[in-house]
Amino acid sequence: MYFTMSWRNLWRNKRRTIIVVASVLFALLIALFMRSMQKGTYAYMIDSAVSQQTGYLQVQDTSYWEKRSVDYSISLDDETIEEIQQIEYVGNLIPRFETFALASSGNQTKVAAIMGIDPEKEDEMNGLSAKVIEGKYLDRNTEGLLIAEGLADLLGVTLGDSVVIYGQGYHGTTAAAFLPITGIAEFPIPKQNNVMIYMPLEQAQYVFGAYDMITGLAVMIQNERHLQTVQKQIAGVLPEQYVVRDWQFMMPELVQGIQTDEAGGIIMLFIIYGIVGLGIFGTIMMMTAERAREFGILISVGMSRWRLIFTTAIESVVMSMIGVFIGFILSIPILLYFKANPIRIPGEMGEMYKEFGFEPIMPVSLAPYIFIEEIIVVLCIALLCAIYPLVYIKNLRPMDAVRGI
Amino acid sequence: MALIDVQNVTKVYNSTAVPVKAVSNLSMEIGKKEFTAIVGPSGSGKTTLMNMIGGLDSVTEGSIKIGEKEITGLKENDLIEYRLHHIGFVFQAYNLIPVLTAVENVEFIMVLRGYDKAERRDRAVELLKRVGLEDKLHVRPSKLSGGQQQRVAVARALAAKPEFVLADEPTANLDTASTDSLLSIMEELNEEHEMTFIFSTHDDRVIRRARRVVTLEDGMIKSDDWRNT
Ligand SMILES: Nc1ncnc2c1ncn2[C@@H]1O[C@H](COP(=O)(O)OP(=O)(O)OP(=O)(O)O)[C@@H](O)[C@H]1O
Ligand SMILES: [Mg+2]
Repeated sequence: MYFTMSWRNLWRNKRRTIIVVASVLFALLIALFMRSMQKGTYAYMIDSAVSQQTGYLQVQDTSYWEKRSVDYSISLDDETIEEIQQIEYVGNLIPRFETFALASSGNQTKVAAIMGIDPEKEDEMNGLSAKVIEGKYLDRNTEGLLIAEGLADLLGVTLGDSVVIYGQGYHGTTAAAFLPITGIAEFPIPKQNNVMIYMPLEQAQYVFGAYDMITGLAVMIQNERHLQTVQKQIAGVLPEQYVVRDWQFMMPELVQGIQTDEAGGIIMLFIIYGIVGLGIFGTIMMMTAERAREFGILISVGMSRWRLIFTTAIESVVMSMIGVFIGFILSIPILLYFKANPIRIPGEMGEMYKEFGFEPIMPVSLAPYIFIEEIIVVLCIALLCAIYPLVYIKNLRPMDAVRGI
Repeated sequence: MALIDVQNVTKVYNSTAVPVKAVSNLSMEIGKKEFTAIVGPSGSGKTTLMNMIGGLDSVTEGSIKIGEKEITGLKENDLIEYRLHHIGFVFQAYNLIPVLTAVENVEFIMVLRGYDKAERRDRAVELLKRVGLEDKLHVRPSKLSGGQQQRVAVARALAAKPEFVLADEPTANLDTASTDSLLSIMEELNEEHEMTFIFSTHDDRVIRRARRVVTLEDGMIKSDDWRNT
């Protein structure tokens, strides 16, 4: 009979119940939508940044990151590389030889970022070959270089011209080379487009006198969640003076950008929670006030407060659950739709994304933890509001309630 | 021995700026099977007295015994238990749980008492028949007239076989016909079940039908008359 009472009470003032259910529902929908969009966008940004730039992890010499000098190159034997490759969730391993050098042609000289790469692996990681607009992409045996379109412009060179590379090689040697341009690539980010020169790894090692050496081994991971475990395991197989850096360390601006943005999002979310919470609270408060006399009579005729609290609590729980349930069910097709058709960021904002090498889209994430988190938060808010009638009943004096109407 | 024994009871309300002495050193006994009206002008302390007897309000001084049991010192939870097991209540209006039908309202008190399902349904139906509502069993209170609602309330008050029924102005919101029929029912139940009824009223028609009339004034008993009907 208690359940019957609770259930019928839900239908007693349909509008109220609907307000509460709808508030819970919308709170959940909005929260889920915002959060999965945020999380999805971050994941996408991280993914892009990681594959375009550093990789999730990078094996380096302990001092390389600070000094940025080829003197801190490393040499990994095949055995160690094999060991790393065998670690669970480790994807591609991408060796790189990165340094700065002067590039000149005629009387133009510019600072260039030289990147010695394994053409196949690099392409797999970030689709470099697709950025080639003239000539050919690199292969292992190319005796030449792939130059960024902006840099080529600055130097006044085109396909087929040769460029002088001049810089510091391994341990004080001088590096100098005269290489033909076999390909030109265009990058969306000016920072890249105006400086990059790619060449096959072995050629770079030869030019800079660092045989068999690389400045870093980028590591891709099949599942980002296992980043830390993988990082630890790799560290375990490395020689002492080598470290394995994670992307957070190598791209602190990205981490910070995400944190700032997320903080903003969470504040928005809390404002929404607050508004919805107040709405629910107000409704429940009115509902309680209207029933004061009824509660008083129930206690007068001998219903214990706890029983009354229990039946009233059922109502709130059921209302909240219905809201959460419908909200959850509704959110699935909505989020799936936006997953398949991500919102495109228009205008300047979109251009900015492009400049950073990201597609201007806001993908959604369907990670279960987002659902779990938001459902818990929304339920907590609803149930927190439901404490009001319970406290009210706890303190109700029946004689006040039954006296006079 | 008296069923209800009120001894030197005083009730002072301190909630207002000036303390109000609602009941003042009042003593009375109520025996089994009485059909007693408590009357008096507004503010004379009728509700206060009945609430104290019903364990809904505390006494400031004095003692109230129901049978052997002193109820003035009982704790809140014990009082609730006590009310459930010993007293039937009828209030002025809106007695019933709006979401339950007439028969469920009567059953409700037996649910609280832990009666089993079949027994409580039978008894509820029987009581509703007794108050003339056999055709309204499954109707919700909002679809019943004020008189019908009060009759359901009386049926509910009796459902758990209390020792006495307290009714504070049960007819205040009723028209003459409903008042008459409610009183007739109460009288009959008083006869048949030897059920003690204590009710307060302003209404002369109701006062006329009481067998004992206790008149209050300023929280004290002004007169206590027995009638032979
Ligand atoms: N909760 C309270 N706080 C303060 N004073 C109260 C309270 N309840 C009742 N009183 C006062 O106690 C006195 C007795 O009130 P009570 O309700 O018992 O009278 P009554 O005889 O039932 O009146 P009525 O016929 O109007 O119902 C009144 O003066 C009233 O104002
Ligand atoms: Mg009164």
